[in-house]
Amino acid sequence: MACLFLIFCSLVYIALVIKIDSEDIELIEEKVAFVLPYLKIGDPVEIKHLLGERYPQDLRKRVYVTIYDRNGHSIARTFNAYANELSDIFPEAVSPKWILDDHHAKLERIRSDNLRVFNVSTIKTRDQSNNIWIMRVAVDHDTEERILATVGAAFLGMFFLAIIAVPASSGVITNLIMRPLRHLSQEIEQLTLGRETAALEAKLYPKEFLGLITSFNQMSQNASQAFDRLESFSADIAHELRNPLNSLRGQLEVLNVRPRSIDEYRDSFGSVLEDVHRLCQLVDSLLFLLRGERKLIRTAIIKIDLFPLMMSLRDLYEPILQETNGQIICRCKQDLFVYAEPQLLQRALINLVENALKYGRPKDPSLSPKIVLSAEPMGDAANHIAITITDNGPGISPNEVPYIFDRLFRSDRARGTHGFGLGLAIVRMIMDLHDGHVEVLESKEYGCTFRLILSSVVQSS
Amino acid sequence: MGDNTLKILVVEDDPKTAAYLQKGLTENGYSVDISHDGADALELAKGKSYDLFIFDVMLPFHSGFELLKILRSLEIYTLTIFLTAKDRLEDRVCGLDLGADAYLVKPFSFSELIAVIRSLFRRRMGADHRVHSSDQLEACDIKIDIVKHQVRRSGQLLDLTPLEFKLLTFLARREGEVLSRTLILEHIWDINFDCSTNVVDVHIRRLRAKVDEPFETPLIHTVRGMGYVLRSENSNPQST
Repeated sequence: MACLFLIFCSLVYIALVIKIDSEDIELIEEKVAFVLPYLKIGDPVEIKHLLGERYPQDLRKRVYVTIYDRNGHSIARTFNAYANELSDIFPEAVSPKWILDDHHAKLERIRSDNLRVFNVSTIKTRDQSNNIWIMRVAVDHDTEERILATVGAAFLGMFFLAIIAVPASSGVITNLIMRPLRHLSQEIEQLTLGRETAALEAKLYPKEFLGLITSFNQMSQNASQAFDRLESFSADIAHELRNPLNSLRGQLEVLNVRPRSIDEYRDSFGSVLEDVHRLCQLVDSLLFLLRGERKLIRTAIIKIDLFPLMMSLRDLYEPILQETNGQIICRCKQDLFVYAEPQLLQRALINLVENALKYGRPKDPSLSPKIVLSAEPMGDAANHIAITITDNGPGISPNEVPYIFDRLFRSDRARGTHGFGLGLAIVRMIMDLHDGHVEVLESKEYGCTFRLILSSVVQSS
Repeated sequence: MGDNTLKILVVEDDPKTAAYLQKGLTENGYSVDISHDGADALELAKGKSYDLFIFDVMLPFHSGFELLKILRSLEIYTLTIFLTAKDRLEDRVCGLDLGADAYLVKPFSFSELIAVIRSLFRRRMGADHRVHSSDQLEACDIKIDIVKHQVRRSGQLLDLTPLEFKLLTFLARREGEVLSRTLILEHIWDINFDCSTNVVDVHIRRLRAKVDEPFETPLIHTVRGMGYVLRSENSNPQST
């Protein structure tokens, strides 16, 4: 910062010096242009007269002229050039150097007796009769010199002032800026993140803080939403556990009240076992999901041929659909490959097909259920494969779409059916483990389409 | 297999679990000793010769893992199954690294445990006794030709799809064993988790239409809450 300032000052100083020197040259040339025609005529009386009475008084006083004749004597001077202290610059006789030197209008800087500085130029010319005339012009450089010195000193002073003042003042300024920040920090300390959304009031702070406060409030809102989700998740799990437990307890109590026939016992135990199986499934799926979300599942990613995988899925589910006159169609080309962990990919696909089976049945009884599996390359370099599972059911309402991949979320269409609302969450978790993606495509007229996007090239991870 | 009784040591600190294991295993024709802690188990295992150890992992005094380590250092190489509620991958790997032969995660189904025990003993004996030859399989009045992919019941040729053939062969190989839906999914479709739909039931229903419906006596039975079993009606449900 200070360095930049220094450079700036120097540049300004140099520019000033150049400007002033060039002004001096202009003045001298103006003078020479005025006098030179008379020297060409070579009349001494006329020349004396020229510098005496005819010399324009309005011409700047700081220009001094002396003219020397062919004998080397000064024959005419401007009135200001008679001063004693200028005897060095305008001697009575011509210095031989001036004649020998053929310097024309060349500037030399000369310091006079009283230490004033002049820019001096000596011009040699000849008249009609070939006599030599010498004209010496001096411009008082002193005022400029002083100005320059003052400016230079001013700059230097400013520079040192800056060096000293910036750190000193910055403490004060920083303190000023920090005051609201300290206040902010105190206020944040007092806020507790939790169920209540903790928000800061932007009005209380300078407007420069608006961005910070908005971000903080956003973060606080996200945190409290996460907190809410966690709480409702725990509540949902407890609820999911309570239902089968309650059913178990009831069945066993009723069974135990009085002696039953063997068949009754067998039937009840079967029912109890079904409930227990359901409970085990819930716990297994939950653990699987949580472990997957924390990336604790080992994924051995290999190249998988999609065609046989999708065909085996079709074979697995075809009988179920045929029982209700439905169909499952597999539109998958041969030689499509993805990189994935086979068991996980299979699980994701099965979850989506089962989701379609459970919730994707058409409401219109004249329509028979239809599930279409398809896979095709996508992306510019076809380095991804999109696998879609489409049903012809009632679809998903747009306002539910953002939540369907949440754990234990069960949409309206899933009410009254078996399931925990973990299937789609597991699908998303599996896709996350593969750096893949799952989405619901906007349904056109009916049904819904889930799309999985997986890489068809090896990923460097 | 029941001719000379196989001896099993079960080490499980939860008394209820221990009791049902003892009951279930005894009913399946095994001779069972129960121990509730690691120290007691060590004495039993050193003093008596067992055919199989079933260890819980979390035990008082010595954990199941420690127990197996000590026994292996004493050069006791009895077949070992771990039962545990911990199913982190590291635990599984740790158990198998120690030389355990199987690892079952609680809650497991009892039929699953029996299936594992049987397969361990079968593996040790080298072959499945019920397979008369590698390409012929008989169960009840069903004859399966593995090589020709042909199935006859009472001499009558059945027209089965490859999937139905695979399913029936699996049931026939494990004749008399209750096979859970999970186990069937795993064996036939290589799916190692529970589907929530009744997909297995539908496939069994199709198989029944071809194997059972044309005949007087059904062979494929549903055991509610557990799974399916292939057996002739009059045989004892728990027989091996």
